[in-house]
Amino acid sequence: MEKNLKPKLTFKRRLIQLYAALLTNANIKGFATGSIFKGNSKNACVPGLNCYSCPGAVGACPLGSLQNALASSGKTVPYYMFGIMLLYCITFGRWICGFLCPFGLIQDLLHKIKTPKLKKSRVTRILSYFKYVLLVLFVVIIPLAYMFKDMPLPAFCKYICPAGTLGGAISLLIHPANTGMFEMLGPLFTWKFALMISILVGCVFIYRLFCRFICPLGALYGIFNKISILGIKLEKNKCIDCGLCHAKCKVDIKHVGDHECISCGECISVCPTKAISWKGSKIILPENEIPEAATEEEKTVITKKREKRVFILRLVAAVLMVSTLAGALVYYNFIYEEPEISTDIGTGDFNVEDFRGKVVVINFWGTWCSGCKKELPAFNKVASDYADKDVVVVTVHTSGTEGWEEPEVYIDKNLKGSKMLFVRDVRVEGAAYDTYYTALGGPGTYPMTLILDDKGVVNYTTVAELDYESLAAEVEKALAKDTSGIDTDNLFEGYVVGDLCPSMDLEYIELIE
Amino acid sequence: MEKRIKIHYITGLVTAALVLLLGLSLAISAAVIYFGGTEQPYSRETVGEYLKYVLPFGILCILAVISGIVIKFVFPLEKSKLLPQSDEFRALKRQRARLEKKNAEALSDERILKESLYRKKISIALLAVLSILGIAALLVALLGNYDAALINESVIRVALTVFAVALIGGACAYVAKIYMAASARREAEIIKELLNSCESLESSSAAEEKVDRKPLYMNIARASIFALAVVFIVIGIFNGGMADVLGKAVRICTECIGLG
Repeated sequence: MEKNLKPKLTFKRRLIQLYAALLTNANIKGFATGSIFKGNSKNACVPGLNCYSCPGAVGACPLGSLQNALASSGKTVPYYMFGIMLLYCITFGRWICGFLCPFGLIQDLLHKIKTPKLKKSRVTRILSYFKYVLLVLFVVIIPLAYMFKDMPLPAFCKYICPAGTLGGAISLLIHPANTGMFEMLGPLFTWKFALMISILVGCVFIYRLFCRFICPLGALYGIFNKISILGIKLEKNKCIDCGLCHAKCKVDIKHVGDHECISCGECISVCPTKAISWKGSKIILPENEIPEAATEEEKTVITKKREKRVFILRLVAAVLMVSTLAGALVYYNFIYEEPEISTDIGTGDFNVEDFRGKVVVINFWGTWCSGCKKELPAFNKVASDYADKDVVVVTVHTSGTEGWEEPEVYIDKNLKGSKMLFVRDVRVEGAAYDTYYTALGGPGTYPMTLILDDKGVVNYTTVAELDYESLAAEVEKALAKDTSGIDTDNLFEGYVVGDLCPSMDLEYIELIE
Repeated sequence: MEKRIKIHYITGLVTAALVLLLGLSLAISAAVIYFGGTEQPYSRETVGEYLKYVLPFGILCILAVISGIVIKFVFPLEKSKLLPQSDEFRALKRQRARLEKKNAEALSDERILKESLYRKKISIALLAVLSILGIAALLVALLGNYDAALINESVIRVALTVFAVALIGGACAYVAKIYMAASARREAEIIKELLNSCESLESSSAAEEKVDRKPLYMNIARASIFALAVVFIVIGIFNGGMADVLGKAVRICTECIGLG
């Protein structure tokens, strides 16, 4: 029995995992263009761990979204994220880990590499509780604590998550259009890269190392594993306590279906009394109840009817799945188009052309961006130090979604009396991302800084956070008309260093008196 | 067959060594680049240069993996030959240990009482937590009646968040309580087992008499949590939570991917 069942089940599971990985990363052209998907399907969270900064991702990451929701819970109560997490937890539990998580698939494939393996033990059982510590500390406490400082910090994503490093950073950095992102690599990337390599190498020797010991998402799903609608269940009246299921299982379960069980179904094939089965199977297909008094002929008819039902259900499921995947691939890669950038932008009273004859420092920021807020004091200092030297520092605020602090309020609290000019990046109605930033070919990351010389020509661009010394050095170069260090590599799609900066009408922000 | 085992073993070791070397070389390269001493250590050219040193390990690794796959098909191993590591062996070992433990710690009245007291303590703790959360929710509701100018708006929002979490926590605690009640049925079964073992030493198959009761109350709890989730999602759509998720997901989170 085991020989027949095991390959079929493993193959089916692998197929479903591959399907889920493809569906959640259906935006394959993102890898070709080096940019992330920005459509409305990112309103919804995918069930598994899949970084939303991955070029292929078509949905939001539940863990990242949860941390961000907690980090901004001072502004908006995160009912939506709580609802999504509850829904996934009660419906799937850790079935997601076994079947739907793309990072789980990567770990499974790595574990297939033929090397000596470290089997589970009491030590691994104890280590499996570490993920709950990470859940409480990095996913809940730290984002909440930083919420009070008004600095959103998704701590697990920032310091630990290997899916973000692999799917997000590496995928983006590989593409030539993102060469400018190399400037942003520093100690954080070095740490995360080393951690990611350690986890991936560890997965070769230890089954699902990340899922068992580190993943807070798995920890959260595991809490609901016993009461989830889908998953594995044990019928105690049939169980003879032989322990084969426990021995077969590669994760640190104490009982089949407990909080560590990833519902892979491997134990189903080894149970001699068929005591282990899938939860929820009877919702779709009731048990084959053949009356005792039935004749052989009647039994055959009933069994055949059931087999027919099973076949039809499988066919319908297969057709639905294939058509959904095909539809998603076609839509995301061939039909969906980014909104066109209109040149008719701005209805305001600020125009960068008015500052010809001066060196202009333009910084794009937002109150929703903690990195932007961190570097603003440096720009403020430059503005005051160079006020009498024909240097203008303009900060262009791009608003986030509703709920984030208004720039006027932030400026009043932190930058009162500043010599910087505060301008709003105006969004044209009907165009989702039609702003000065996108017109400049902004690469999707904030902050972004440009320095224009006195003729309005772009001398310097960067997407890295700047400190005072670096910024002052570049301003000095522009003042001295020193073009020797100008890097004419195409950083953005639109305007490059050496091009005249386009003129746009933007609105001044009305500051609080 | 012994030769086959040796081939598999050596292949495994060689692959393991190469994988470790590859991982180490990647990590060391990153460290060397970062600690290289320049202001902006990373660049496409620098990374490309170091990748040239890592490439041979990568190629060797891939070759080792491919040879492992080939060896698996060309020299397949029978599972029984690995008896000491097989699942059946480990299951038997575990079963033996459990039987020995079971004999040592007999099904005694003391044990049943201990379990019962433990469950009672859990129930009281859950009820206490629910009461505290209920009082906190009441306070939050009362706070809303105060002058908004006196209370920091963000504190109220945080309190509402805590209330939402408390509601979820309360629901989970209630479900846990139901589940605890369900497992208390085991008490009755243990007593039944005791009686059976007293009547007949040979009828140790108490499993035959265990009844699989369908937990209707479990389905009610699932439906309630499902409904709560849907309600939260709908509220979240209207209060801007969904838009927040979109706003974050459509921008490259440089912090999240280690850029910075």
